[in-house]
Amino acid sequence: MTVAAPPASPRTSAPAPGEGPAGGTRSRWLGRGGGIVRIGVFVVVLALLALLVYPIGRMVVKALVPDGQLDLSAFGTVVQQGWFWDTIRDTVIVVGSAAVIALVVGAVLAWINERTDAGLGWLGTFMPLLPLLMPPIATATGWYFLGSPDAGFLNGLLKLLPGSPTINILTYPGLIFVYVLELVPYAYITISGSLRNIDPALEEASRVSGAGLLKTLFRVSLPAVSQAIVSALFLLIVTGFAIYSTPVVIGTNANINILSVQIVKLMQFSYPPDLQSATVLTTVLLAFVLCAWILQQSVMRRGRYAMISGRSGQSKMRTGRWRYLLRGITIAYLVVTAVIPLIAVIIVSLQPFWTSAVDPSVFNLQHFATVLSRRNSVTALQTSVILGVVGGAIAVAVCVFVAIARRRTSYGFLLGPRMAAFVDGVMRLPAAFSHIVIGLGFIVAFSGPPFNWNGTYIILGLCYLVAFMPQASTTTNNALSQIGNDLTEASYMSHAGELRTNLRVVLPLAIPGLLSTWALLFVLFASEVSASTMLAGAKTPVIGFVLVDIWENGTFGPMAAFALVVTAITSAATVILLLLGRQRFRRVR
Amino acid sequence: MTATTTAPQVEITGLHKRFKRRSGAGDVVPIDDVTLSIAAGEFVVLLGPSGCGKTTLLRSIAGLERPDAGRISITGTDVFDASRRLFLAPNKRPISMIFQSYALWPHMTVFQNIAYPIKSRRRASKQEVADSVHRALAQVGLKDLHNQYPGQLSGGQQQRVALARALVTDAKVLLFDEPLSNVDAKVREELRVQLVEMQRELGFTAVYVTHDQAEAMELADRIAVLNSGRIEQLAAPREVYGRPASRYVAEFVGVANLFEGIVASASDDTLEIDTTIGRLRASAPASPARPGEAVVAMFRPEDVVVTADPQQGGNVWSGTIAHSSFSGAAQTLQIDIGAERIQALADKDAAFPDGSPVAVRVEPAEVHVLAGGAR
Repeated sequence: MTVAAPPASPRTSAPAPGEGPAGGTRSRWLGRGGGIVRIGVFVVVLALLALLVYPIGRMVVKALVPDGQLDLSAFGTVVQQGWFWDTIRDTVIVVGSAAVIALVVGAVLAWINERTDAGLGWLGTFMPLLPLLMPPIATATGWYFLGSPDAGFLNGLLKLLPGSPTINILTYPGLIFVYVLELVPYAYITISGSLRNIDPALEEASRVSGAGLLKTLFRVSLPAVSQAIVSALFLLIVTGFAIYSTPVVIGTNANINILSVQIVKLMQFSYPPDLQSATVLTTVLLAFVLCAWILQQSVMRRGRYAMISGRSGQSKMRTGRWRYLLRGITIAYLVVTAVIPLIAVIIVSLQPFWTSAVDPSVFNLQHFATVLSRRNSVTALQTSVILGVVGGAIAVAVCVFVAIARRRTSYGFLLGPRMAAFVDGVMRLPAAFSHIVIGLGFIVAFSGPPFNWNGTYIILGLCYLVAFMPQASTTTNNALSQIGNDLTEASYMSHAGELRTNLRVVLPLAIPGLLSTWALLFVLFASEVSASTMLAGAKTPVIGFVLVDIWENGTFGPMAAFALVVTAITSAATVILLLLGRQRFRRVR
Repeated sequence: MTATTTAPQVEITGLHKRFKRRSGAGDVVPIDDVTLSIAAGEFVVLLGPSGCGKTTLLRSIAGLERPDAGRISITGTDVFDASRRLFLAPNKRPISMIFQSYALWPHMTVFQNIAYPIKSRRRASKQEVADSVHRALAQVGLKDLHNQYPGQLSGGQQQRVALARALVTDAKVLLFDEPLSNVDAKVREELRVQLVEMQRELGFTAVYVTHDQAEAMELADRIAVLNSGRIEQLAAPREVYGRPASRYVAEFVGVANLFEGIVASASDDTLEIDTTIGRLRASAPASPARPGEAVVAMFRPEDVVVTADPQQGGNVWSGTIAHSSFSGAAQTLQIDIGAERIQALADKDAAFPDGSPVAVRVEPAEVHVLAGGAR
């Protein structure tokens, strides 16, 4: 009696999950839709991790343990080179000071445009898009044309002044200046996002208490977003180490050695390519980047920052007579970053020979004809456009899939909160590595056997996908998060299942945002330079590769013409992005 | 025994829901052991201040929240049963819901919005769909708007479209999540009347969430007053107002004059209570109280009789008018009695200048005795 009873009781008292009519509904769901989606997400995450960890891991292994055991001789050789310590010193000086200056400039610009009545309205929205409108290499080249000691246009103008002062962009301050121009949008995006969410009452209270404009800025507004500022600084440092176009254009001619340029030079412009030294240098770069992230984590963890809650601010601070000065700062930044470099590039592309004496009567389109008749550059345009269109579409599709899987479904969450956070972390992980690290990792891992992908669409496309996954994922999530939960819930309440809800409600509403994500990725892919320079081959030249190639050959006119063609393409895509991104269905309350 | 005709349409038994708080400041319990049975065709309002759990309870019926324990059945079918791990997806439940934000899909026309639930359920011919949509639109009085987009409609029109979308599948149970709080006062009044008429005509069962007690009284067959996840009182509006079960209900529903006190003497039909405004006599207390017990005495402003002549007897005090405010049909008086202040309702034409002395009387039958102690 007593022996027989225990085995029977558990079954009757607690039915196992999946039994009964109830469990049937749930497991059917997980078996059909949910199961496939979950497996899909795991596949995406594993593929992304593999494409990140495997190449970078192989690269580090190749640098440290080339023949199966720890061997630091390659390290030793590189360290003993005369240029090594110069490169490290120059890179740290330039990236460090540019990051700090860009942080201050970006914070002030973000505050002006988000929190005061001195914003430029629709023109202000161009700020974060500037690097998309003008590829960074075009800005850098423009400033090279403007500030070169001999033929620079600005020097040509300054000569007219008494005492004929000169400027020279090919110096430390000059290089840092152009770095700052390139970095400011990154600081701007990060900081403006959180400034937008400050409760305006905080600032109003400060002004009412008699604090002036500057005191309010530095004592209230900026401290309230200190977390965003800290993360912006580290983003700037990480991005700064990866910047390639500015140092290759300005630094090389100024004899300032920057790590990223040195790596690409070892791979692409020395014969035979010195892969061993390049991997060692990239490992050093990786170490810098990882240090920055670890430091950020410890800084962020130290203090729990107060959450800024409540109503988001529509009321902007009145700046009175300061208004014109503040507006002037924004305009000056736009002019210095985009307008005058673009003018310089246009002039050089039209001049037969680059000279500071500008004579419109000799302008012609000869350089455009030269560039566009060269097979290499035409193929590069085609390759980049194809990669941008196809790769961008794939990236958007992958991100939409993951984002939908992370959304709340009619039967709860497909991914638990920890799993969802992990997936999100993996999607953003590539941002922690610079494109050069990822690019070189891809060469080490995939260019030889068994893959033999050297110089193929596959290696370029995969590298772009991995490198730009954070941007793709963030923008897609933004597009989808604008669709209120009530709209999907109303669909469930209208007896629609997951598939119908996503196809008929979520996707149609997200389409404007998704199209603009696609355009964004197209522009990013098309203007990528550092990884492209290493990965592109003779069969698959891409825009970035050709730009650097022309530049290295020292032909300024064709370079300017090609940069303009690229600027035209990316600007067109950016304008499409802006037009598509407008919310068509404004909700009336 | 209840007859089969009044078999519950929605039956909630022992429902629990708990949200874990990250900072560890104690969990939030939006649904705390709720048992509620709603008959077919009944209009039940879940009433309470924000954070009392009324919306979570509604969303649990809808299937948009998953409770931790308990059981919910709708039209006789179990849709949630924690002990059997049963959870029927919201789209499979025989219900419709109307949202506070209307939740109309902005990329679809009014016609497409209303046709959506029909097409979700089954394949229907074009003609069938069109007939159903036009019937639903006629029911809510919006015949000519089917080609408009929601963004082109006013708030009141949008909520009517949302109602049509909920009605179009002939759902037996309709859930309302504060549907009128986004429309302006006049339209709200109209929609309320329309809603009651429609519910009487079509006979659906309604569960309606609001924090507006006037709305609750006007709409409900029964009101469930919620307090931190528990049903504090479940009764017809008249009963909730006239015989509140607790101090919480008395304060939340209508205006109440409340006085804490100690029972001085108790007999079969009368209770004498010592309070800060003196001895109060209450007749026929709902629950027996013993002398020495702490209780709360409550009476409504409209039960206060205010005259200029001094009077004698029980429950009579003299006070001064502190302030009077005119509200159209009546005027509200704030009357100081010693250190205490009470509210009274007086005829709109009576003259009570500020500072004038008055006599105040409350019939013992109008004094309600509520359990005292912690609020």
